[in-house]
Amino acid sequence: MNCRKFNQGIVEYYDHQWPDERRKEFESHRTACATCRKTLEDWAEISAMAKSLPAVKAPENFEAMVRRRIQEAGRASKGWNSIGRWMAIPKLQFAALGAMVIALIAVLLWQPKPTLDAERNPPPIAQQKAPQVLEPADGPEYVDVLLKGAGNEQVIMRLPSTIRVESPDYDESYFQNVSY
Amino acid sequence: MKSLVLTLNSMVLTDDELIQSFVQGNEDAFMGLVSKYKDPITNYINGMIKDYERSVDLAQETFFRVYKHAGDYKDTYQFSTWIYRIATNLAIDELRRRRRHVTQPLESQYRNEDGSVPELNIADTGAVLPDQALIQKERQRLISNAIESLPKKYRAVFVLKEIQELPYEEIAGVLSCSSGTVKSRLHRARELLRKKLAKYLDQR
Repeated sequence: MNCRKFNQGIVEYYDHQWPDERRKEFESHRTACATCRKTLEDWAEISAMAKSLPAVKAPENFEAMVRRRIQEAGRASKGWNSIGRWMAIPKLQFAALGAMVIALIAVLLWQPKPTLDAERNPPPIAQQKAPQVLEPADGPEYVDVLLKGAGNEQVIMRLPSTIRVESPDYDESYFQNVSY
Repeated sequence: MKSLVLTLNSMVLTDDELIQSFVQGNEDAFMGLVSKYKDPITNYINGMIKDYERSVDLAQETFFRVYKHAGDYKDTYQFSTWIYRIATNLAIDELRRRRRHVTQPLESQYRNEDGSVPELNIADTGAVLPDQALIQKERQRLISNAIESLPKKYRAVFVLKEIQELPYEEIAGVLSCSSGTVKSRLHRARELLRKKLAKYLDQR
């Protein structure tokens, strides 16, 4: 046996994990090799040092401390436990389940008001419903208005200089792309 | 009278029987387990974190978790494996927490004139010939500091083997690894300690 092979099995050998016949091989190498012998002697001393450390004990009132710890945790979760006890009643379980189903349906049916989205992202002016022009308000004075469409096409329209608009959808943004 | 009967019963009941009895509602069976394991668990955690007060807190937490999760215990492994696993996880969490809030080691407060950290060994203990008690105390301090300096995974395996004296298979169960890993970590832990204690070991 050489040192490499000895090292591969040194833990089991040291911890007496092997039968006697296998140990004999190691014993003979140990006797012959000072380096491997020193390793085992050091390990033995380290074990002895570790075992010499005084073992600490739990305090005498440890059981009482554990009981107190359990009681404190019990008090902290009392609220949750009482909910749990109520929920153990079958009728309440059905009621809670029904409430959850109703809430789920309400969430699925609820949709945001479309006007809000339109306000945030107004569609291109060409797709917008044009405000309805009912009549010129102040006589026959006209002005040329340049309108830009979604495809950047330009249209000059002659419109009354003052118009009255009545529309439930009226918004200033309808005129944001109008230049004079 | 009741406690006397329980004590006698606890002596004959196995850990598995005690935990099963507790799961069925016998609180006294749980306290039987506390009485049996309070010292080894406190000692083990203290070996890991080197802080008695905190070790007692963590030992209490260990038993609280046993109390809380007793229903989850499966007898495919030993009760001792389970409780040591809980204690190991708590000790390792504590070491991680401490690492985030780094504390100043005591030795680093004392420096040589050139600023280096002084080597502490038996030869340095003074001109007066130290008695056996002093030698023993110094030896314990050396090994204690050396164990504390081991990385967590090596420290756990070393403490479980050398101080708690658990067999390889149980250590493997506690640390959720194979026996082969236990052996290789133990080899590495012993070699690391050898290096750290080289000066002391060479002058014996």
